[in-house]
Amino acid sequence: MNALPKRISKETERLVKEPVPGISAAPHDDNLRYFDVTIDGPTSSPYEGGTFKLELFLPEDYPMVPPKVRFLTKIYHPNIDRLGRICLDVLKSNWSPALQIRTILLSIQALLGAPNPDDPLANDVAQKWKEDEKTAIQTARDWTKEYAKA
Amino acid sequence: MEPRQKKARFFDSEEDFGPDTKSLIRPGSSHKPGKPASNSLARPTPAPSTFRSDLEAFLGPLSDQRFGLLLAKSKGNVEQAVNIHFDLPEEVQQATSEETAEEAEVSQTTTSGFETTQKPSQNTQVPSRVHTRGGCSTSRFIGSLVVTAWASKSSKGKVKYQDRLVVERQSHDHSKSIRKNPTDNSHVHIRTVSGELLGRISGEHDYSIASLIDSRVCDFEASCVYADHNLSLGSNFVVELKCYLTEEAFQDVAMPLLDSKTAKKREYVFDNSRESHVEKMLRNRQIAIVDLFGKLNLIKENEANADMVKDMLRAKSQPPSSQPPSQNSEDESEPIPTDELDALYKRIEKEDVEQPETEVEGFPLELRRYQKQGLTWMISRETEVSEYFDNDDSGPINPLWTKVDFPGSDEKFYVNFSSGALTLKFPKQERSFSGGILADEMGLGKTISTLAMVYRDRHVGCTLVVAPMSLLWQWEQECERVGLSTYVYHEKGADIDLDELFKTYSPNILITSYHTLVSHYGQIKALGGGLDRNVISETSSHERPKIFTKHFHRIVLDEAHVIKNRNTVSAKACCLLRATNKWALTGTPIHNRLEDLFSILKFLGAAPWNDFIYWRNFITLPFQEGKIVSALMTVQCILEPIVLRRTKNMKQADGSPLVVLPKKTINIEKVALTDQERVIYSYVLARAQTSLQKSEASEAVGRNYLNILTQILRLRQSCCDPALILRPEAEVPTDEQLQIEENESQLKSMIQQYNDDTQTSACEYSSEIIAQLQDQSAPPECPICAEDVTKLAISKCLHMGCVDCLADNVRFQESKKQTPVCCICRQPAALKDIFEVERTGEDCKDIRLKKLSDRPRSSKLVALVSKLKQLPKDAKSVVFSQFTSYLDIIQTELRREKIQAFRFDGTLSRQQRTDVLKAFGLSKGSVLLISLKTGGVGLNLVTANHAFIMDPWWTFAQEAQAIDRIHRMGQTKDVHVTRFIVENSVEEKMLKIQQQKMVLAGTLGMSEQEQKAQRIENIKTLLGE
Repeated sequence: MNALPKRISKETERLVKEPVPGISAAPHDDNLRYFDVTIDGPTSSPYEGGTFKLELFLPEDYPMVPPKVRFLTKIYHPNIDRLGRICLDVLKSNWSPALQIRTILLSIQALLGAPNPDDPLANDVAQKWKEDEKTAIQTARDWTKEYAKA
Repeated sequence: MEPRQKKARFFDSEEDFGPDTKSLIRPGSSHKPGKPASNSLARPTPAPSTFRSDLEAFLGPLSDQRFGLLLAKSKGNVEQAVNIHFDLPEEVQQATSEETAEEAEVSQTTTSGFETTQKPSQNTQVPSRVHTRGGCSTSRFIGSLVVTAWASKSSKGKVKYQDRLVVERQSHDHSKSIRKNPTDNSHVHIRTVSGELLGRISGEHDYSIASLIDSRVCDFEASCVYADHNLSLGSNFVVELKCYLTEEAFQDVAMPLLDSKTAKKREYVFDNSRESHVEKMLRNRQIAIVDLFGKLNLIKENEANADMVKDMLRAKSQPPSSQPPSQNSEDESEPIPTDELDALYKRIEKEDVEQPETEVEGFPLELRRYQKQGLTWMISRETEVSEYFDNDDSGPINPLWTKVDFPGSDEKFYVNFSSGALTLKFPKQERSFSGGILADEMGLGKTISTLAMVYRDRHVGCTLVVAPMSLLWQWEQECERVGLSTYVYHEKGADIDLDELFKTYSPNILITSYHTLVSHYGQIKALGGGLDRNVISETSSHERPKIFTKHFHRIVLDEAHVIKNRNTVSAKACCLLRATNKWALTGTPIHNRLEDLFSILKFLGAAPWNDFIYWRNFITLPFQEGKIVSALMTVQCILEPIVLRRTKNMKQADGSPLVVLPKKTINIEKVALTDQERVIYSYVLARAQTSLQKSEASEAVGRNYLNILTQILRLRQSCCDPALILRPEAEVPTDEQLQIEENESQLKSMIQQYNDDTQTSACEYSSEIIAQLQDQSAPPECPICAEDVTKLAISKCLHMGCVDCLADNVRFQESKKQTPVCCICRQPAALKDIFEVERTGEDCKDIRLKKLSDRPRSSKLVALVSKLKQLPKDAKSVVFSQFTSYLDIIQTELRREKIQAFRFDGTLSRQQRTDVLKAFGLSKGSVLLISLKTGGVGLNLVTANHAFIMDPWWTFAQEAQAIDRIHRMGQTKDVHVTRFIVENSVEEKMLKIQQQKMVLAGTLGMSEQEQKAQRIENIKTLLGE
């Protein structure tokens, strides 16, 4: 394993010093590339009141390649599958080394506020969202209550 | 002959003035008839030894008396003598004249020392004839000498064959005459028994015989071998001299052994050609003894140091006036030819593997067998002499002494040809110091052996280890491993008070660096203490650094060849350290000059060799006179008892090798240059050839040597990477300093072109960019590495970042087969659209844009990277180059390739070195870049098992050293070495020269002229097609 690049330590430092409201990220002591992340559900979204746990890992080639992020908390969302994987362009083809952990987590938070069933990852959820948005939002609320209560 | 005649006649006339007075002056001489008083008188009848041996072959052993008679009667004819013997079995003795009988009695007395069995009774019969000195009974016959004598007056029938003669000095008042005219008083007179002067021993011999008589080393018995019946003035007659060593000769009082102090004094005086009378006597005696022993042929061929002694005989038998011209500079001694040096090393290797083994209780590491044996030896070097050499005649003989047998006897005596001393006692090599040189070959675990020794008596006292800076950490670590407490006395660690340290902590081992010693030594000088140890001890203790006042239990100099130059401060500082036991660890006690060893011996206190004057006389001077073998033999004699050297190739008693190292494979990887590189290479080559031809035409190759070497250096650099040539800051080997001259512009532009990407067109956005940049003041943070930008670059889309980051981003995307885009705006990006911003002028207002291109990687670098990538994932490698600027390029490239690389070169501080080695030791799959010069010594890098040598050195030995960093004890994996060599280049030719150097018998006997020619030949080889 290479020594930790300056950029990672700098980002980590900044995440601690100037935390983004509703988002926390802390590296593991034994692996500074592995972060425990929590994102609060955005207000006026079905996820409001929930606190979602995620894991974030910075691969060897970071920042040339995007971080790997996954939800640990069960969530009912058309762009997040049962394994917690996230469908988000900046985490894939639209990644740029100018992006950072902070910006990625903000994007994920924004994704919670604006589900996009047209570009689904969890097909069944997306289907439901399109057919019966009300029920789907209610399910999302219920799941949040059930799984994402702190 | 003519001049001698003349000279002889002169003295002869002087002699004639007063033979009587002279005989009166002669002390101890009583020339009364029938009383042979002088030691030179009345010896058994002489005979040429061949005659006697022939005769004895027929008749069996003969008494001297009997033999003398036979000789007289037969006139040297064997056949006749045999007949006479049988004709006159009993009457012979009676038949002789009264004088002869008397003479015979005397002879029995005087010779009884070696023929007592034959004539035991005669001794008591003639007690009155015993010499007044009382030494005759112990006078020992050592051989006979036939000399020519010169008749100083005409005489008729005074002497005939077999007549006994008297040898005496012209005057015994030599002390007076020496002062007046030292060289002239060397006449030895021959008289008849009745005291009549016949003549004197002619010039060739008289000098030494006179000295021997004067110094009472020898008694002579003379007899006539041949003389004309009518001796005319100036004619020659032949005399046989039987030589007897007197008892006095063996007394120390007569010739005190040279200790270093007197030797020093003696030599100083010698050099100033102002000798005191005693010194003159002693030197004459020495020269005479050497001369005599040489003539008597007493040195046996099979004697260990026969060669050396013979050389000394040759050298010392020359009169003092023909001493070699004094060498002005002692340091100008020639390097030892490598082959001779190898042979010397070979001889001091200890093949004796049957030594007992010593176990160290509680020592946590398993010692190998040879290490335990070595430990036995090391411990013995620290204990009392008596324990080691209990037997009187065992152990090594002092190298200055030579064993000589008494003829016809089992007994022997010993001669010191360098001082002229004689002794009957075995002169054992005295141990003047405690400790030695552990010269095991690299990788045999000198450190561990030493630590085991320290561990054994760790409670006795503190051991001081002096090591090069780069090895301090290694020592510390090893000590920790075996559980020895340490303190590193270096840099900040050296600021403490040693006394306080020992009061509170008292470490087993104090580790320091040569560097620290040097700086502490500087303090002494600053205090005005001078360089003399005596002076320093007079300065009060708080004034000098404690390191020099503390008496250590033991000092160990690691890589002791660091102090090989005795004039360096580090050598002087080390010699100042005080300890009970002193050790030097080095794989090469002699690097290339014999003086290298002297410095170490001085540190050890190996008297008398720690006195440079002594050393110079017995080693440097003979060596400079071309007696290389004999000088090396002397060195070997010195080294034998104090050096332990084992090599990896040696076998244990059971035939198994000492060390089984993993297999080592060395591959030569041929690299082809790209066309672009070839163009530059050919250009540099052509220029070098032209300048060589020019020099040859003007016959000034020697003078332009440096210039041509520089050209060759450039050739070698262009094989590595053309960019190296243009780096003026590049660290180039000494003397080969690169200078970029005015007319280099063509070469410059060629290389520039090579560096540039020619496809990049002029930038159409430049004005916009410059406008943008002019607004920008403080360097922004790079969006990619999140650090302050040091080398600012800007892209076509006007986004900025580090040059490397922006370029890396593009390269990375390209490597993933993606279309590269800007990291900020995601517009298409390309390397050719990235510009490095250079701000120049006042306030950095002038902005220039430098096109950034993907600098092509040199062929060797490509080869290295591909090799590195083929390695297993966690295999570690070391990369060597002699050009640190090349290491820079490699480092950058490896970073680009995401290969973790560490760097170890001369610019690092000790802390940095330690850190780098630590980090490399702990890392996986990493590469350590080492400059060949820095990393050649001592480093232990066994965690790596791949080595890459980027450029060849003139001798393979240097590269082998580098390879041994990873191929040494502790290496568990097979070692792979790759040497990168550019095809059809100077590098291939360097390989050839390397091989020649290994094959050639060596430079032994090559004159300077020839060596020069060889060098020029080498240059032609290098630059040839």
